[in-house]
Amino acid sequence: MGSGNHQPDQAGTAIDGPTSNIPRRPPNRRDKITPLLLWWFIFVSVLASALPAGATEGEQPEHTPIEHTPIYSVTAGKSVPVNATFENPGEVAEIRLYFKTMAEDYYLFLPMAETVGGTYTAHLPPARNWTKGIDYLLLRKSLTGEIRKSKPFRLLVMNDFASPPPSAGEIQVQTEDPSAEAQNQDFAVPLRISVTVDPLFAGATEDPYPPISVPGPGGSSGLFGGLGGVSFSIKVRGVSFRYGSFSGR
Amino acid sequence: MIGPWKKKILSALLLFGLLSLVGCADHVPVQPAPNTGSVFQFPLSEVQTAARNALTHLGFAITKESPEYFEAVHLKPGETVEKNESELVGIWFQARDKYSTLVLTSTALRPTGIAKQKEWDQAIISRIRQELP
Repeated sequence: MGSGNHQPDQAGTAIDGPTSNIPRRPPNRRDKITPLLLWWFIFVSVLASALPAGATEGEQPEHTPIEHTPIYSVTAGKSVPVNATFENPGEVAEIRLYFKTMAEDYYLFLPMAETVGGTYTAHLPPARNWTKGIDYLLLRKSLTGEIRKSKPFRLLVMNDFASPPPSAGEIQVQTEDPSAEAQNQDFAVPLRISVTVDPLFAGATEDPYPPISVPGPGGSSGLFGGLGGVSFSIKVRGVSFRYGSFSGR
Repeated sequence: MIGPWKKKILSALLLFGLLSLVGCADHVPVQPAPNTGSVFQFPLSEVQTAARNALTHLGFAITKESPEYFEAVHLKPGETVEKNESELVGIWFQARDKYSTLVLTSTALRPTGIAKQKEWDQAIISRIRQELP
């Protein structure tokens, strides 16, 4: 039958001949199931990525005039800028940054100054080693007299014995309670504390917690939630690809 | 038999599907069963304050707070919340009545640097106990 290199196989078709001459076999059950499986797999993949991450979503607060990205950690001896942004800065009469070390009861505060349009900034004084944590919150007074404060944020202070101590010099801060003068000694620079004549803290309404997703039983990240992260790398023809699904924050 | 092209397409689709699923796998603590928790004979607010202090003492940065849940990441020197290879813990609070609170904890380990990580659940519960009056 065939000539040259074109050897017929047992079914009588050419091994490397033109494919248009190969008789097609009738589709079997596997051929029908494979596309269905593939589509199911893609559907599940898309569905899993579209599922909500949290079991519980908090309600949006009515008052959201302030934008603040929380600061979670700081190295001892370093000052931290704290920023807050307002959509309508014209409505803000005053904004203060209240802070204290986690061991103390009374807050100190600094006025926040407008740096760029609508953004107010104040710097938390540097903390000493072993301070562990600083609590801070933002209080704002509107032109209408409404006073609101955020929930306190906890800032983790990480020890740093290698860096030189911050340059000497006092930082002027205020307080609403004279008892605070004896407290808050855990800062790396001396604080000159004065008692304000305009206390606002006690009369402020506290904002609710911002909405977060709360993981439920059995994980919350789609179908494969709770695996704790996956990473792998593949190399195809000299090109490597690394994938890692780890969410720090 | 499946043809060579069909095989390639099949492999590509399978790989795509696998990647999509793997991408969904997030690094989050999983809420444990209620019978694995600890009950503290203190009101919810006091237990939450103690939990906040416990986390800070143990070197955790608290990244999420709500009335029923805290989430925190353990930071080693030089690490930040945004860039770290550390454990993530979740703490769930359930007020059983006015004077007692159920606390559930869970640690999510990262596959990278796993040798330097540990389960923090017991340490957190012990520290909360210390922090309470």
